[in-house]
Amino acid sequence: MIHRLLAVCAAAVLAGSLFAPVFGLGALLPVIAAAALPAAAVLCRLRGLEAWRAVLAVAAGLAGLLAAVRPADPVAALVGGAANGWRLALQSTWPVRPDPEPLVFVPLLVLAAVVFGAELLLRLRAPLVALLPALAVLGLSQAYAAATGATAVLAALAFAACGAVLVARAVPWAAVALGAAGATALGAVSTGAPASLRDGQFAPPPATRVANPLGDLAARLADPDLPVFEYTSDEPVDRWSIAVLDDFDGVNWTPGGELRRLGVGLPPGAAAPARRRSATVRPHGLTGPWLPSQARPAEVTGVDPLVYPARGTLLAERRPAEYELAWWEPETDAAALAGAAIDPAAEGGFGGVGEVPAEVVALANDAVRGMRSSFQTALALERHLREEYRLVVDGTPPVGHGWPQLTRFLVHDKRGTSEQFAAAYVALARVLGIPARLVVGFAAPGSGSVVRNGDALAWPEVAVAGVGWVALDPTGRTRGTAATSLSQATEEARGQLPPGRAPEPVLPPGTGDGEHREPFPWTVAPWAVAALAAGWLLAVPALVTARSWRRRRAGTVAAAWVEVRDRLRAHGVPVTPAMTVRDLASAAAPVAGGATADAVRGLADAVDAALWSGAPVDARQRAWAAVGAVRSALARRPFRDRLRAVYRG
Amino acid sequence: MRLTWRGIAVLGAAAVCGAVGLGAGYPLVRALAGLMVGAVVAAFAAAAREPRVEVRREVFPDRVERGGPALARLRVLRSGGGFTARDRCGRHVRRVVVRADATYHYELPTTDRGRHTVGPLAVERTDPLGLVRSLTDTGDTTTLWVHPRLLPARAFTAASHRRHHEGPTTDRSPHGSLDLREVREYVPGDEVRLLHWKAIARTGRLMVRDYTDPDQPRFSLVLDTRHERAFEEVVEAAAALLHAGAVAGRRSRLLTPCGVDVSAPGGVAGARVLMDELCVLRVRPGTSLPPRPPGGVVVVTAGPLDDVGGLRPDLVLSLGGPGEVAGARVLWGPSAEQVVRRWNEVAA
Repeated sequence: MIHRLLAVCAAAVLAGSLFAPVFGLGALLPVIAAAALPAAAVLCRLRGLEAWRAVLAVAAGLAGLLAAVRPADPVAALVGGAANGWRLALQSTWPVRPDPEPLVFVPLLVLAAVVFGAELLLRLRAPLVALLPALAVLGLSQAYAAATGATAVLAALAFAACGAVLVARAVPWAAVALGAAGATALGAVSTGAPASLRDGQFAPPPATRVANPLGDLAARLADPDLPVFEYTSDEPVDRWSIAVLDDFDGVNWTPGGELRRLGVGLPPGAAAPARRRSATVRPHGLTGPWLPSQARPAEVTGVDPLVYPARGTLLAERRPAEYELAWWEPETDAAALAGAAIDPAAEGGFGGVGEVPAEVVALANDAVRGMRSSFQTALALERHLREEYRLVVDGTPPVGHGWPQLTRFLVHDKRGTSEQFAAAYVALARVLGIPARLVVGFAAPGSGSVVRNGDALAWPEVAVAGVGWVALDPTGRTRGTAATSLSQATEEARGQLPPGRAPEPVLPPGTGDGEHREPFPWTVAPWAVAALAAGWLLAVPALVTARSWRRRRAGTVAAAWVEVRDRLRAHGVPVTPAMTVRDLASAAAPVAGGATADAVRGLADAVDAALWSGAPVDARQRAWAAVGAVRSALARRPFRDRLRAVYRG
Repeated sequence: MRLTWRGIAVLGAAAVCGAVGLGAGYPLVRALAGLMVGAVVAAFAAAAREPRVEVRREVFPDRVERGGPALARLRVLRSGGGFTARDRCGRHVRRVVVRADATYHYELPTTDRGRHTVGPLAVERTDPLGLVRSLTDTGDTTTLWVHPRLLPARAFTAASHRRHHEGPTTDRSPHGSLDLREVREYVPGDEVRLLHWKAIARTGRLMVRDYTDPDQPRFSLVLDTRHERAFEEVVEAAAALLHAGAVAGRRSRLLTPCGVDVSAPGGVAGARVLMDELCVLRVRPGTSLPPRPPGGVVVVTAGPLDDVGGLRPDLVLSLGGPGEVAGARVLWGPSAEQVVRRWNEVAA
């Protein structure tokens, strides 16, 4: 019984450890073990105490869990974790920070599965029912984060092994083999992206009013000496982003995307090789919930912020005195950037442009002279803005970023601040089919590390395939550029941009407008033919065997006659519909030999007995014995004849 | 070969897991479904092997009192074990887990009176996970007679004595003899040879001699099988009386409304005949009592006593309730045990 109890506990622990993508295995396993192992030990030792073992196991498990997590307020941590932990885990980026509140719900679930499973095992006579609580935990873990590939198959095998321990009398080798085959076969079926509970769960935005930082830009430039924040970094930083705005309805720019709590950290992403950098930030003059950030933050310590994961924007309810930000800085070179295509699938790249005035569309097409959308086109558009428009540095700057102001800037005034430059660039790029977004932030100060209001800046970014978001500078006046490898590469790509109309970029294969077709896979054709032939070779004997088996199961004399007739026909005996059994025997003699003919005569006797004896006679056994004799007589024929008979029948 | 409940549950779980896994796209849940289906297929393959088992089963004794021990001895040869032998006995099934070739003993259930067919023995094989079970019938059937419980009772004395003979009569008279029983009035159909002229002359009416064969039973027991209430008790009371009489060497006759009419000589063989007959009795409502047999008549009934007055019994054993029957003594008791105790007091 002990081994069964341990199997139930192991199944629950396994189901709980499938939450590893949410919390990380290193953070999860110790707390699960701390909750499950004392409970399992109590259940094994005290399984005779029918009334008290569950209570004692729960108490031991909770004590172990609290000893492992060490929360400040144990009751609040357990209650809050059970009530809200599941939602906090869904709202956070993964892996979740190993705080008690989001973490404890998994060990609590495992503990419940252990105790319920053990009680079901000890009280019911059906041992497999004891795995249902663990199976429920496993299903929930998949609804959080579905395991894929080999992990899924191995976890399924391990779970099933726990079930086998519960019921098996001996090692079920056949079940292991066929079960592994079935698990691999069904686990490998691709059915698209798994549904996740996380899909609709986002963190609520901060309670404080979220001011639009783009609207503040003009006000900041009006008071340029006010310090905003200070940072310490061992290497120069190119610029600091505050907010990424990618929805434009013609009047306002608003941030889009889903808001999540920042977990332990964010991965670098698969776009390009990236280098980890870090800086310590001390904000003091900032308003609103926004925190200075970078495009791809990796980790934040000193504050629990909210984050737009695809945009890197950080928000905090309460502004910290100091926090440390680590981020991923893409490492790329001009060669990769120069011929790069745009990335139309980038999140937020085509947020919306409202109602575009007709003269702006014409202006956009003129600016790039009808080039296809590519990174070169984006650079050409940037060059157009740099050459044709003027940045306002002194005096009263123009304000506004809706279509009326942008039309005035683009068509009439041709002078504006970085606000108009960036907004106009993003709108024009989207009109041209280039995914772009508007970022508001600060440029790095010319000297020192104190960022002031005068450094406030808005700039456009375009999505480049294989690289990610690349910041551009349509004003052409921004300080502190070329501090990172990406900005250097962008600068080099600018230099390589040919004057006038750029050559058509080479289209990457497979992304055409539908006129491009996959070539017919001729190499597959011989394999298909071979597979068809092999299938025929296997299917014909299988069908003949199945037919013969069906007749044998019917077991009647008529079935025996049909079986013998078909076999002899397959062996080349001329069979006609009007033949009697004895006729067939004499026809079989020259082809299949005398032994076969004798066996067929034995069948004829059985048929006679069944048909003409006048009283009910059971001749089935005789008839099928004659079939056996015919078969053994035919089996003595040469191999070539038998092979031919197989495929003729 | 069919699925056990566990196998059905596993297949159902596989269907649910497969639907969830395919619908929501969870590879792990799909893999679990595939694994369960694979395990069931493997179980079918494992259970499909034809068992090569040779078993012999003997039952002793083949006749047993209700509640008495009846043992079955199962000898398993050349099987290697690893199966469960299921022996049917009436509506009961006995299971014997056979781990190796050996001789196994088990008790057959004898809680129900009746003639039970024991077997055929079914060899039940399951796969190691218990998902699929294959049953193969093997061996033959035997019959186990479960007789009614026998209560200690005194043997009855002959209910009416012959006038010309004292002492015990022989039970095995080869031809019987003629013994004048009474002289009664002629009824049409009586043999003319038997007219008793002296009596005719004396009475002025046609009288005939009524002969009886002294070898014919003098004690008849009418068992009322028409009432379901306390039927087993009625049968037990009758069995106690008949068995005691037969064992004491007296002839007796058993009659029931359902048509049973058995005369048995005394001795163990006669007791067995009567017991076998009592063994298979069932309640038959809606039948009518047989005509009065000659000799002493004892009625055992659980029904109303008014019914049995027509039989003109000498003694009535009533398990239904107390009452009066004209010309008969009524022994009442709520159970067979008490009725038989009363009988023992009376018969002493």
